Amino acid sequence: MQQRDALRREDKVKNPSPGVPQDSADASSATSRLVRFAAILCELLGLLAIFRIYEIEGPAFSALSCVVVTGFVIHYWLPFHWKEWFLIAWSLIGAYLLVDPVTASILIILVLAVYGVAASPMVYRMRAVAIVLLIGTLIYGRVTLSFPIPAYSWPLVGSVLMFRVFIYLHDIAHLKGRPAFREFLAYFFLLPNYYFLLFPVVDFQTMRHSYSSKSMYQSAQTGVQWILRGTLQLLFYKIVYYLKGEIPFHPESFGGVIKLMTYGYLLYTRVSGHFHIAVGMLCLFGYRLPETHRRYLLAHSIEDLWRRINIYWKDFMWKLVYLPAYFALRKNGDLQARMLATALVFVSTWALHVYQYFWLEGTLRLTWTDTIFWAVMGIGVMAGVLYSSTVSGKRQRVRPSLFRRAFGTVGTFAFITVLWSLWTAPSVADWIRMISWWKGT
Amino acid sequence: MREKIRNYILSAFLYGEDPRNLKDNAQLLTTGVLDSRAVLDLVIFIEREWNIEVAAHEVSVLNFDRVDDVVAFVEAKVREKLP
Repeated sequence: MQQRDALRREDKVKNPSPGVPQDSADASSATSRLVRFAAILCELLGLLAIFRIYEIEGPAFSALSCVVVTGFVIHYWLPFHWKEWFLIAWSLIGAYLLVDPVTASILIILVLAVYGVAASPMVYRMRAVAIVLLIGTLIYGRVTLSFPIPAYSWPLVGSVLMFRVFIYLHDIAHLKGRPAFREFLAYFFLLPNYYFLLFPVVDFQTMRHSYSSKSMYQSAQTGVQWILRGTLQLLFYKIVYYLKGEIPFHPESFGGVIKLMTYGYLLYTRVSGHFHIAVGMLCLFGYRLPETHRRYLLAHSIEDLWRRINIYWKDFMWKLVYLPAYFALRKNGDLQARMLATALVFVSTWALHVYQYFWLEGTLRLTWTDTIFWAVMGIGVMAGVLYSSTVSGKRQRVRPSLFRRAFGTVGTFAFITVLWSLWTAPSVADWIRMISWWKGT
Repeated sequence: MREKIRNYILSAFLYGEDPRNLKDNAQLLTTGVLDSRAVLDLVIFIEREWNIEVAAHEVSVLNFDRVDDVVAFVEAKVREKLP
């Protein structure tokens, strides 16, 4: 069902209704281009007004939004071959406008150092080792704070480099020819990243693949839609946050526990909202990137939830962990390889969340709640893989009944709500105290 | 080749769908029409059908996003195999 919906959505994009102008140099007259620009600008100004009226996020986010919209206004009218260079320049200026000058300068120096190694004439293996050593040195600096880098600069440095470096390394090993300097800069200096430190793991190949002169208008329109979706989620988050604040951490009734757990899970709409807005902002500049979340509250199984929630992370794991593991193991049997590769994905996800937390917060956060959460998620997804490979091998040919689907959705929501409450609790003991409503406070 | 690939996608992942709805240039991978499991099934299908070997890094948006991409990829792999 989800696949069919997506196919129709895609079909609408590929084959717009008659009368809707296609974004090509030939088709767009100056007037229609102006009208389309004015429409998008009005939508963006409306969004800026909403940010201000409802005090979405705060002044730093408002500043980012203004920089993005101003950049969009200039970018839209530039010839295509200037657009990406402009965006890079705008992102570099944005770094100094949105972040303090010391952090911005350090970031630029470090990213250029990565490029210097990645583009050097050394053989690939040597370049990979050199970049890993560079990241290792930075990790040492983050732990000891012994480098001339202020403590407040590290989270942004980590946010920009911690995952993208490895995706870039992976891709340059297999791409025909080396990526251009422009492509490298555009990938690492992503304007919204200066505010959103918890940033979706954008894939280099997907980003390049999605950039085309023919889809600028469609891309910008998609960007507006996603920013709007993200904004609605942030508004919803504000309501949930308020409601959650009304409930004590140790509720004295079963209903209180259910509410606390449900609101706790729904607070994730903030992350989802951030990701929508971050990727929507990139879409404004011509990168027709895929969705970051796909109606995850309606997931009908744990495996389905994994596919829908934080899609960029799932794809990152698929590319760097699952596929290499699966292809290395499949000689011993397809199902076994799929199961082991899936297990490896969840071990990696757990470890990389610790790694991410380390970059952003400066400490290693090894907790049982984290370990249990990812173990249960991994087992859930593996059970789904096993089920679909054995019991329902012809799953695609059978449409599940509406009742079964609804039951799956409610069950998954209930299950993930409980599991999420454990994940976000300070400790397992705290979580047990939280759900033991009958004991009172 | 194109028809075989289209028919496989339609029968395995979009059963009952009108074939006209599957455009050859429609994005399948990046829009979630094909999930990661479906792509692996597609890889296994083309490996068996054309007796080619696909490497892990070749399973990417560049080669599997659209029917057109898959056809171009398989054609290139088949050409590589020729003496």
